[in-house]
Amino acid sequence: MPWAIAAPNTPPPPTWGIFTPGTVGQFFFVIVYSAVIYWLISRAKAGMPVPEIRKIAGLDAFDEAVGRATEMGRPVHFTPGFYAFSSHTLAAFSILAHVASLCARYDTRLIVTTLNATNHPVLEEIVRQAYLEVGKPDSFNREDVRYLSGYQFAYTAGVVGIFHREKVAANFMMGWFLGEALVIAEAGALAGAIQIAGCPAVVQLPYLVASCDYALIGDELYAASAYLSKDPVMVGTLIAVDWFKMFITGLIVIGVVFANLGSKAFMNFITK
Amino acid sequence: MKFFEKLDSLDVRWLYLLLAIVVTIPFFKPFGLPIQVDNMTRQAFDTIESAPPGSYVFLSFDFLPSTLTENGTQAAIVARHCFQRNLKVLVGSAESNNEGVQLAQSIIEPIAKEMNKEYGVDWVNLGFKVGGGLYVRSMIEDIIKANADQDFTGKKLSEMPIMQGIKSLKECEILASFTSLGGALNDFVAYLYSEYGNKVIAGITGGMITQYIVYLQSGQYKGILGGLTGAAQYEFLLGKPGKAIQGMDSQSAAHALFFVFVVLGNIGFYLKSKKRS
Amino acid sequence: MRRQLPVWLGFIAGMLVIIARYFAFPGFTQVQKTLDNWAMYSGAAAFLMGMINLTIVHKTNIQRRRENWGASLVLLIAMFGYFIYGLFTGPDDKLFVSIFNATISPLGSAMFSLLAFYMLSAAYRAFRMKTLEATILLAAGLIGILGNAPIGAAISPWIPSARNWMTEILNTAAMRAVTIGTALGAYAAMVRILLGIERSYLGGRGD
Repeated sequence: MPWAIAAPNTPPPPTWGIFTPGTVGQFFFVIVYSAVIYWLISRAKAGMPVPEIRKIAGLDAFDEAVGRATEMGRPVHFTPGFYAFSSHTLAAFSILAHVASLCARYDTRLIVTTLNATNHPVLEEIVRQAYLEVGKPDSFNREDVRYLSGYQFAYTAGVVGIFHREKVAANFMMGWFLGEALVIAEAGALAGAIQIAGCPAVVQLPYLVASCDYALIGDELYAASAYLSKDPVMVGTLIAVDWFKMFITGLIVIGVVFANLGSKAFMNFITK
Repeated sequence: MKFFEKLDSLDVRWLYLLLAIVVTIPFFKPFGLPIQVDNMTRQAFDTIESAPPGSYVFLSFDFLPSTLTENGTQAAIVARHCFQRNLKVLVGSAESNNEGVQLAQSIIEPIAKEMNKEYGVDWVNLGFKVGGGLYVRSMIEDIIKANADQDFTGKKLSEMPIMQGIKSLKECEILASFTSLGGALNDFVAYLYSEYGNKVIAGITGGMITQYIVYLQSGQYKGILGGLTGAAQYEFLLGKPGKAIQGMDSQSAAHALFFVFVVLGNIGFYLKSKKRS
Repeated sequence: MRRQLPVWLGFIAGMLVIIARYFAFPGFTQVQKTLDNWAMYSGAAAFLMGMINLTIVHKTNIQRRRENWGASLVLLIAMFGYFIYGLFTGPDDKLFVSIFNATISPLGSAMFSLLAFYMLSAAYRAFRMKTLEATILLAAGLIGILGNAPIGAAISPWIPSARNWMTEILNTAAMRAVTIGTALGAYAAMVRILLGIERSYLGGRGD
């Protein structure tokens, strides 16, 4: 994502001391944001109350999805998306830990697929640990964590095949998806699976919303592990996200006022 | 009412068959609907049109064969425009997409031949290199070094006339990514536009427009070709009708079918809920 | 220690990259370049890991004569055959390119074209006037469908204008909001990971 904000047709910003050009505004934002997150973590660690966070329907439905697969005696499928070791993949790994733990507890078969060979050993380890932690290491089947292909649509064809052959009852799509998102989700819908998707790629959201039962929108994917853990220290960091959304809304309002007054001072400040 | 009830329980495979028929018909009997050019395609066209002759352009092939119809036609028409304007064309994949650079060769080579452009002088295919964003960053340092002094076929880049006039990717006037992935565009904006002010053009699939148009308005992109429609508009602007314009009638027919079925589905849904209440 | 080491390594590498992003110290730039190179090498190694993984899985399929083991055999022959041929001939060999063009390209395009069919069935199922919000979504969707092809302008010039207005104004506002939220959420998640608060990605619940 190009998080850098720039005004239309502005020339490259000048060098500012030891800073890389164009990063001064970003740096101060990151410092303040990090400080607030750290402060909220410290508060929670000290046992001070953490504000309530809103309910996220998609995350509350995890138990329902795994429960339904358990009742039907059919497997659960999980995919961590297209890329390897990005922020969204790490978020997907954390969610997998939770889903694997649920599946291990209910003795439900979990099939994890990936199109990225780098992800494979990590996924295997996460699922193995989950079975180990609930005291069922023998229930873990190595072959249910599968690297299908590094090629996008060969992988997609593989997943669609698994849906039909294994009669998957619940499908979790967590991470960054591209064109394969709708093909997988619609194949899941046609197979009658309950589906929960979480994808920060806004392009794919409309498709996932149309095809899946629940969709995590935007930052909800990143909030998932904290939300599911119910650990106040983790939840504290989610509060910071909400506060900074309000802060940025304020910045936008200030920017609009400055821009309408014909001043570039504010724009120059944040793009310095 | 019975019709709508039947429609509601229709096997989706009938829909699929109908769509296949509707998309195929215009290839045999085109409707010839007029092409309307939108602002984002015009901006992309103007950006290439205003580049000084002899300046460098990096065309990044960041798509897989699956989106060849959309991204391939975009890349072909933009490359043609670049050659027409006598721009020096560097071809590669900033997303480290092996299939992309192979597709690039088969797309660019015939156009270059047709326009009498010489390989190694007017254009070069840098070939596949791993790293994605890291590859882009190393090309900002030194293009030849980042590519291990080898082009697509293993020839020495340092001995090619085209590489004598450029050292770093930041010297490229325009960077265009034809992509179904999006990563290279983000890297171009983060590492090149933000720091050196290079012009970025996005050739994206139709579904990606809603997300990426944001960066056109902020000025981070200097033009977008959105899906086959964008390619058709560009072909229209360049006065060189090709595969994209040919595909527009099929697209219109498919969209019309979508419209009809969504409307019918809703009439059925309305009648059903009225009956129930 | 098994849990602490990856967390510390992650913290140090993460901080180095963050510092190198904002400060133009020559030393840090070199460190970042080194880390970049390591990441590039490990990315290249992943291709090999993928091949090894596929070989192990499909070799087992063949050895145990599992269902469809013939398909596994075809996969291994195709993978190693193409790989070895490419090693000897290079990427611009005519046959090498022809095999690619004749197999991967049409297969990939065929899978991608499924999107159009699935979009139709998904839209047919999901675009229903169940609530006011769904009705607004439906209306916007229909204008988008018509406005994104020449047929929209052929019906009325208002349709592409309305579609452009929706894409450039309404959509942009929503996209920016979601993008900003996503960036903030991703950053908060990364802080949790860098500080070692969240370790479930290491396996289990990270306790």
